Amino acid sequence: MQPVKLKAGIYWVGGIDWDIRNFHGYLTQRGSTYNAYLIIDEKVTLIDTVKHYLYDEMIERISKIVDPAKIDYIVSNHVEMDHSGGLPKLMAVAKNATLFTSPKGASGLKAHYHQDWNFKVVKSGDSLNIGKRNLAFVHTPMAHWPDSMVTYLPEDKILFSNDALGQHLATSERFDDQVPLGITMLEAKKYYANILMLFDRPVAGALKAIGGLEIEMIAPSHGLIWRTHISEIVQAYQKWSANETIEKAVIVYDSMWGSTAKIAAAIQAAFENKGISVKMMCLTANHISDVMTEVIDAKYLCIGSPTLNNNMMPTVASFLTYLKGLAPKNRTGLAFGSYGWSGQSIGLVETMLKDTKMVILEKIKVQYVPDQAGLQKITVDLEKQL
Amino acid sequence: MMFKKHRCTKCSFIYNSEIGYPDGNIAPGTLFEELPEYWVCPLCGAAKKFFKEVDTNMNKYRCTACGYIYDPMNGDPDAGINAGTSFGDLPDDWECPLCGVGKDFFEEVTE
Ligand SMILES: [Fe+2]
Ligand SMILES: [Fe+2]
Ligand SMILES: [Zn+2]
Ligand SMILES: [Zn+2]
Repeated sequence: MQPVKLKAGIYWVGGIDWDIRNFHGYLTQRGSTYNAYLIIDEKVTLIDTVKHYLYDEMIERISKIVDPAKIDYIVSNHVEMDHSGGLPKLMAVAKNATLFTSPKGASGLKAHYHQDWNFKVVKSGDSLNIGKRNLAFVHTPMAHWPDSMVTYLPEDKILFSNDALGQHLATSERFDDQVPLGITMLEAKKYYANILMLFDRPVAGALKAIGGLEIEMIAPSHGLIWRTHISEIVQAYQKWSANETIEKAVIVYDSMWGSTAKIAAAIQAAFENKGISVKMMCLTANHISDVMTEVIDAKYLCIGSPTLNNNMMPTVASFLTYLKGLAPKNRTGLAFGSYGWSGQSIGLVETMLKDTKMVILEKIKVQYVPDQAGLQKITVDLEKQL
Repeated sequence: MMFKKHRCTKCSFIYNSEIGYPDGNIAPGTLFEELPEYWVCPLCGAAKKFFKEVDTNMNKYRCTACGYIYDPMNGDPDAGINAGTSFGDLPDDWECPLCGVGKDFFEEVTE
């Protein structure tokens, strides 16, 4: 296990989680990394740690450069356990270390680990001298937790952005120019969709706060370090946090006996006829976290469920609960589905869509099995509304 | 007719137009705007320009980032905000006590 040099005296010393596939419900099909960074200066400084089970890996990488007991300063940008999980063991080893964190970081770490470590609370805008270098702290509350902050190293022009601008992507490569950019951008998009979408305004605020900085490297807490494609990822974040959409429809549904699937196809035809990009996402074939990646830039969201037990199908309810939490803005919604006798599901889906303040198109409700004429009418009627 | 109140930002004296200020020969019903320009705060002598209209909107406000609800009836004692302080009267640098975002992230609870 080797450290990876970012610049003279600055190293990646994180852990690679090759096997993780379920990140609190988010399908991480390419695994992830937890990035910790070591700076060798008059004060030996570590920025963030790793998930608890990768502690040994982090320590092995650190030990190739310096004895972990000699760490003077630890910066905790974020309380969440994928980045703080290494602290309990590390604080026992680096006995003299001071732990720098935001006010909510200190209260949050205490509420996690119930330890009275040597905390030093930093305000937004505070600077810490570590020798030849300085670390500047910028609080970014709710991008994505109250404690979230980023750390900027002006002498080397590196921004340690923590969860912002990261990707769940396990690789032995560490830099954005060593992996096909399409994969990295897709994982960055999925990360934004599933972790940050709800926090669009705090993210926009964070982008503004770092906007004036001269940046040669962005070192996030997950995935690859940006050094060649910085403008691409920052521009993408600007677009996503502004809720910019394109002419694109995502059709999300489940079906019991194929009728709701037929309606979904009739809806697809309407968008195709209008030259609008369509993504069909049946919930038995697609994970809800992958659906959210497609939702990020889609103007239209069509959600279908047949009526089951006077309700919608649990697969659709699960997706809608997730969608309502992540709360994409400025969208147009459509509820549809087939039913046998009572037909509650379509209204329930529509109510959920209205709760997220979408513009609502006329809902589509078909008893039992739609016939060819009925399907054509669905297509024609919808086209008129687009 | 709605009687407005104005608070002196220097000493917190409140001019209530319904009551006026009879001790200073200001008749009840005299609007703040109708007070002569040379009028000063009867308590601390601050000029008229130091008065700010009291925000009488006692509606609750919700944090759009975390869902916290600011209720003027409770104030935010941990941050030194007294009960009875309207959302509009919170200082500009007041932050959501749960998640830390600023006042501009809040929206009025209307229902
Ligand atoms: Fe996080
Ligand atoms: Fe994270
Ligand atoms: Zn006064
Ligand atoms: Zn809040």
